[in-house]
Amino acid sequence: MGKLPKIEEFKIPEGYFEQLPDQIMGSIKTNRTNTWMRYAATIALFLSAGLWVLYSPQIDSENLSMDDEVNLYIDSQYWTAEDILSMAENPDEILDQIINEEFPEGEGLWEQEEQTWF
Amino acid sequence: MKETDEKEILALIQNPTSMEFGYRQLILVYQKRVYHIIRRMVLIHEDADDLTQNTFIKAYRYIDKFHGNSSLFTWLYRIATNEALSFLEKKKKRFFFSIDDHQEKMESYLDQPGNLSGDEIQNILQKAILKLPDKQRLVFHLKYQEDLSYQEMSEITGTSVGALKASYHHAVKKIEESIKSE
Repeated sequence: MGKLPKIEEFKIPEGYFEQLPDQIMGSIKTNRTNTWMRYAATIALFLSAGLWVLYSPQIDSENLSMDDEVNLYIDSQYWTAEDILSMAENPDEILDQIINEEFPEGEGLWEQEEQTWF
Repeated sequence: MKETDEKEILALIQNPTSMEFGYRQLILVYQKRVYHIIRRMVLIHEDADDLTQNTFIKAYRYIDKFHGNSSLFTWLYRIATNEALSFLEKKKKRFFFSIDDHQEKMESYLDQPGNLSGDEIQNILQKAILKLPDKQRLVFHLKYQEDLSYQEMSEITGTSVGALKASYHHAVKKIEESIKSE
């Protein structure tokens, strides 16, 4: 191994490590706030749904829900796969979902035969 | 890092009144090493930045499940290396659907000005390392660059010491042959 030279580290942006702790702590706090907001939103949604079921008039079966309308556009091929991806906020997430369904991941990344390493 | 320092950081984190301060200390102590091991695997700074932050955010989420069976360092490194390998797996699968070659993209990143020194040997060395399978490349970096013991590497990767030694030996041979052929 003495024949190989020392590997140089990649260049990093100036001040990167000075601001990284603040960025990470900020993300942690945002995640905590988002978790509480999600719980509150879920409870509010259930309460609203419950009240709506109790007090709303009979649903007109001819009116399509948003999901039904979207499915209609897809089934009739009015929207292509590219249209749907371009409208999505996170197209990569949709692609990842498709990939995971097509290529299901194994239990763990390290659980392959050791012989296949080389 | 000394065991006592790790215990002090853990004690700070486990105390609700000092948790934030303790976790910030954890980040300050380990951020560079976590970043560099990830960066060596994914090459691109923006990706390494995302994965480094994900590592520490995940570690924060699961810190109460850390029972001290390994050192805090190996536990963090395990999260970091899994993040890097998962990322590379996903990236390769995405490239499967495109005409671009993932390996070529990574090599061309090394050629971009400012990413490496102008030293040709470094360029050849980095490209030779890039040719290794991801897990073998990780083993090489953990041993050669980080100078970890095989026991530490075994705790991080969950792989036997024997397999790691063999993997490292083969990695070195492949790199040397690759450099000779240039």
